[in-house]
Amino acid sequence: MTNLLHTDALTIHIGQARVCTQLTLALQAGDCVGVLGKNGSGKTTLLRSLAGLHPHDSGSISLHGKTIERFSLQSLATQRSLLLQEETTLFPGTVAQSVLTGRHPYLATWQQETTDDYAIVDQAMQTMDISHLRDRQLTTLSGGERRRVSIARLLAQQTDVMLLDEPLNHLDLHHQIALLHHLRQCSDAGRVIIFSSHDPSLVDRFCNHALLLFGNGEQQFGESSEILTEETLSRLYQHPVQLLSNDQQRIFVAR
Amino acid sequence: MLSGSVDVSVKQFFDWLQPGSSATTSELILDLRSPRALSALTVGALLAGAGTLMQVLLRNPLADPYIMGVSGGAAVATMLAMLFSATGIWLSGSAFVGAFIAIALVFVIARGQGNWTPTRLLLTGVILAFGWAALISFILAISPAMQLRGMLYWLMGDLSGATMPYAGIVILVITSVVMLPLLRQLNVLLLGDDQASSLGIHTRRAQIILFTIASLMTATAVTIAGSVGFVGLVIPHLIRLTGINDHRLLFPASVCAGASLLCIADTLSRTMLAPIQLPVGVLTALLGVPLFLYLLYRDRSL
Repeated sequence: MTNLLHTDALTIHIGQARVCTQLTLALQAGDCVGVLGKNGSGKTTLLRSLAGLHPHDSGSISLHGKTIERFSLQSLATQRSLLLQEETTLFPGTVAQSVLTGRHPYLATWQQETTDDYAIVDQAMQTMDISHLRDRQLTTLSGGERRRVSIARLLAQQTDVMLLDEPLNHLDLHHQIALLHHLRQCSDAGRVIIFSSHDPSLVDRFCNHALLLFGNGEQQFGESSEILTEETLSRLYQHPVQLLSNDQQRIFVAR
Repeated sequence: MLSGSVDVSVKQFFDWLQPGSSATTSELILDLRSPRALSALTVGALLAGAGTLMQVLLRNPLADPYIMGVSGGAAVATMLAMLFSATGIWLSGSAFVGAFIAIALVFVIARGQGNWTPTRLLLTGVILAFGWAALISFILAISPAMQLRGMLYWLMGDLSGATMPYAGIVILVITSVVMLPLLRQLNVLLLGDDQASSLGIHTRRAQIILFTIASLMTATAVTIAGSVGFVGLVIPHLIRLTGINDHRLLFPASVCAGASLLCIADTLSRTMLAPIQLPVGVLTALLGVPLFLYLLYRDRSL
């Protein structure tokens, strides 16, 4: 079985800082990876590199067994999607229009969106619980609502590999958990999900793998149940972390 | 077509369509008013189109076709030509050359050592525009009084010397046709470089195309009519205020609305105080400001 997303001895720099060294990942359908690390440890850079938007120093990244350099930018956009941490809206536009741009890579030059595209967009808005906002102007939305619009666009892009940079930012408790459940469903349905987060407990609960970036070029990858421990997390954040667990879940708190 | 310093009646107009009509009417319509109306339509279309593209390129709602100093470069070159009493083709030639020098300067300097970000592009353009403005004031200060009026009219935008804008029409058609297949990309580009790339757009390539097309449109408009203000900045917003945000509609709608507004403004400019002809730039603002403020007042989404 070929890996959906494969990185081979991947080394990435940004400025003077090294993000990861000789990182080898072999991710298959169903894998959900949480990326953890301090501020500035390179979570965003790693996700941008995996999306093909930031150059890597050495090693390779492949999707479906084909290195990303061999994809055209448009066909790449039908294979992987990327949620950015921030998005600015200066011009008027409605929620539905914004989500609809997620269908751009599937349309030929002169093609108009089809009813299928609109159905996919409706579905994505429903999933993100923004159907009632569809005709609202983006500028009138709250931060969390706007975040859900961006995520809906990513869902509408319907890619096998989904990269999300801190998708939980601005979301309320309910929408955080609803989103993570949905991402889990997506990975169970045969996709690969990689998202960065500052919450090790949620990563432990929803991801089968975790990737820790230590900020000095060192990284650690493994089953989340194995590598998420008081000891590694305390080292990761350079702050004492304590584990509280009950029968259902493990909860990490900063001391 | 019919109104102006000398009125042509509807009957005379239709008589003119028949063979053997009066020579004066024919001259008025063919040599004076048609070129002028066509020039107004073309310039309005070019400016509104360029404004729409500039706003996407710079991701800034305040961008207009002149923000990069294109009109400044053209103005300096034209006024220098006026100083040396150049006329006709020399004037428009120098305007076009000046516009392109300005564009080339922005293009080369904004690139610099680093990337071609909207902020960098905008800052470079705005600073160069200041430089051009200083040169314009300098030339105005040293010019003989006789030429001042012509220069001021040019600066405000003036169609009174318009000839048949064949080249302008050709460039309008070419630029619009080149943009048509790219219009959907504009919607995506507004989301930002990274988001656009992740949706499959070559952002660098798209930016260079946008910059080139918008500059060419602006340079052409400036060459025909001087720097007619307001149309390029406000027409795209005017269309947005009517609820059209999809650039596949917004761009053609802006082009049409720009053409209409400038044609109406020019007709008023030569009829309102006839036989005095006002610079059309004055009228575009006088018409556009209340219309825009009304739409803004009515709109609650901003």
